[in-house]
Amino acid sequence: MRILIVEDEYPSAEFTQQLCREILQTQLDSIAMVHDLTEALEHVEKHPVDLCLLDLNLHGESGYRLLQTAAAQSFHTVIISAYPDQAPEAFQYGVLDFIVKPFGKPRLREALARFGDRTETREVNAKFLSVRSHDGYRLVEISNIMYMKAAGPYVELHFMDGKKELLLKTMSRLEQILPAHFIRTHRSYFVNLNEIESFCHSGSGKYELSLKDHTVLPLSRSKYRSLYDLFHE
Amino acid sequence: MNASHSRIDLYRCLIYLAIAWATLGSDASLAGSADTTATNIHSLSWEHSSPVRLWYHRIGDDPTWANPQQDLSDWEYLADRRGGSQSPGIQWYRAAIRLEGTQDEFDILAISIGGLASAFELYWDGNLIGTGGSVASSVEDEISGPIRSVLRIKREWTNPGSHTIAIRLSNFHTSIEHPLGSVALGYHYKFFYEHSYKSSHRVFVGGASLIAGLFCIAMFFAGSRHRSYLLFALYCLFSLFFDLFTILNLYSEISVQHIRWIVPLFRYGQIVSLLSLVAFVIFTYDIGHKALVAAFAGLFSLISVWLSVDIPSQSALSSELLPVLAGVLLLYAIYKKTTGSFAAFVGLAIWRIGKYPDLFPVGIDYHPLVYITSDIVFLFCIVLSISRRIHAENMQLQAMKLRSSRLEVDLLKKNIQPHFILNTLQSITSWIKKKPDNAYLLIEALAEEFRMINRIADKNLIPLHQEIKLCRTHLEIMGFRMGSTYELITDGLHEDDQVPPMIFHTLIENTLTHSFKTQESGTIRLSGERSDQQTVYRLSNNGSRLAEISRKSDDVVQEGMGLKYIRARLEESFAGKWALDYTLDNEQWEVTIVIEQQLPGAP
Repeated sequence: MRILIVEDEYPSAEFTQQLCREILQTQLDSIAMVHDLTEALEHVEKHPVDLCLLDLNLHGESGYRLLQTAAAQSFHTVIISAYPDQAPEAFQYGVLDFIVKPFGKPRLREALARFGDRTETREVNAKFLSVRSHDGYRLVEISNIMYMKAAGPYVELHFMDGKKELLLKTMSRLEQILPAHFIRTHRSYFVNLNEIESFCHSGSGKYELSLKDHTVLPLSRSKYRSLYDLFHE
Repeated sequence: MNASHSRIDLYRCLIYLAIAWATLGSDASLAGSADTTATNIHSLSWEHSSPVRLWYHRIGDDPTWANPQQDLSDWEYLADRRGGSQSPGIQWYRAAIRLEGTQDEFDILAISIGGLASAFELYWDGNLIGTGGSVASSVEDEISGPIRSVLRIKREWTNPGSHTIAIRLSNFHTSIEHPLGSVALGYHYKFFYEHSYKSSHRVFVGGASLIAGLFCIAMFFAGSRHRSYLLFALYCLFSLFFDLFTILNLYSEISVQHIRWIVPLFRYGQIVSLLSLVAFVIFTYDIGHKALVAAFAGLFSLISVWLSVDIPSQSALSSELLPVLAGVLLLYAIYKKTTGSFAAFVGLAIWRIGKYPDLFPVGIDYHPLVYITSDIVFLFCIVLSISRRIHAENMQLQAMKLRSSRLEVDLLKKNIQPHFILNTLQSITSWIKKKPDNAYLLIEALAEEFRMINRIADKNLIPLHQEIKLCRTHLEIMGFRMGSTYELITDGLHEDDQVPPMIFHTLIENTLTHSFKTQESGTIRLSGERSDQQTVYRLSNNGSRLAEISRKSDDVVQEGMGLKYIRARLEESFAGKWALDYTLDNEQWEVTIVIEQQLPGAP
């Protein structure tokens, strides 16, 4: 695992780094500390990162802006903050966990465990996704999305009004933060359950799924079964 | 109407005296009913006494002039008592009366005389029915009588038909010349009824004045110590005095010769009481230009005195000059939106209009009611106005206290904020792992800062050295937290200067948040410069981060809660006499606080 710690208080950053080393031991591929968001962004340009441990209050900068910037990155984010009241908003942005200061080893271990765990049902799901736009970051509402399609390192977001956006996240990372009504219907697709019109076997072992706007998407056989169960319960 | 009106004015100076009598019935239905026969017609009714208005006048003295059969061709006819001033010396008045109706069985008629000359004898159909003092041909021999008397007429002399009143008088003791005063005819009981009616309204208004005056005195002693309220109390006590004197006069016979001092007493007393009212308005409603207004008030008083002494016909003007001035001042106060001025103005206007009951479509019997009502409304309005001002003051005081306690809460909240504590606890956790000694030091510093904040929390001003110590403790804590060291260098400060608590502390807090990079050690410089008029404090730092950021974006300088706190604190202690500014100079942020006033403890 490749971890980036973003924390402006040096002793705390060092402490977090030390704990990560102790918890992950050999699982840890690399760990780095930076002290503000600009440095963090510079870092991710050059080095791949899986998980970012982010302090939401860096040098008086607004937590909201940090959150929006972090949420748009490809890595997972775990917030470390002294402001517990920021937690609900942070989860809406799709962060993996929210650690309240002061914390110790057990709490950090729990958060790091979430990173690998894909089956866990989360209580709070993301409501927004942060996408890059020409002048920074923009929030889009997940409930307006019809389906998502993998496209290399990106995910294409298809909205009900026909618009498209690119999101810098992998399918597996996205799966961990999406709300329950988005289901993975294929290796490369997430579909909004509410938008499904019909699905059928189209012959020669292939399955198809039609959306309300008549878009036809491929459906994997295993997912056909679970969809069938879901709709005929 | 006009004539009787001017007569009322003429006796203005006596209005609190027996002349209250004289106004009685002055507009009664008899006016002008007997212009050719020169006979006063009186109908014998329970309802009214009626004034005797049509007189013949003759200077000289002859006992036969009392005789009803006297030939009046040599006498001067005075319709409605116009003219005929009473010069000193013996003279006679005569009037013919016709009694109509049926005389009541159980009461007898009487003649009331008020505002007459100093001594008189009164004859009814040639019979002497009463005297006031002793009529004589020289000032030495004359004995002055009461200002007012009621003389009863024997029942058998007052059958319906024609009768004659003759008055023999000498007029040596009255200091002022005036026409024949009020003579009225009516049932004897009626005069006493009216008598108590008048005194009751005086008692009523006097009581109201007393309460209003005591209220003002109480308001003065109750704490706010507004001397202007005493001025209104003075006015009220003057009114009370006039009322009491009038009542006294109604129940005891005061000799005419005292008019000599009663008249000036009332004349100047009135002006002084009105002056105290004007002064009350000036000082209560924050009228500026006090010297100018006072000069006007003085001038108006002099004019009032002059008018009432030399031009009695202008006595309405003389008594209204000062109230009008007060009214104008109140209008000005209303224009300036002074609290309570509107109520006071309304009260004043109603009060003055109430002095002219002729303006109202009510019968003469209701005139005292108009006086009472307008007086009470006036007193109520002024008391209301004063109460509103006291209420407004209390609100202001409360708001000030509230602001102060809110700042205290802010101060406590600022440093006992959860995120400050929680971040510091996280630091302690970190240090425990890495270097436990530092964790102890950090805990000590944190405890020290909390102790100091707790000590100063309820103060508006603290000595500068205390503030500096607090700043240094905070820097120590933040040094541990950020993994660096910060130093505070002071220069040119007077350590005994009094400053609002935690203003520099707050600035330094902001500095640490924004100015230094992580692990960047820094120096913060606080310098002071004192001149005769002001003290200038400058706070700067050598941090690299803020300068860097300020080159990139401009949203860093938004005013946070910290600066709002500092401004509120400075305003609380140095209202209007401070300035706060911040500049980016040579890539260094500098905050300047100027306090104009010399600080306590300055040489």
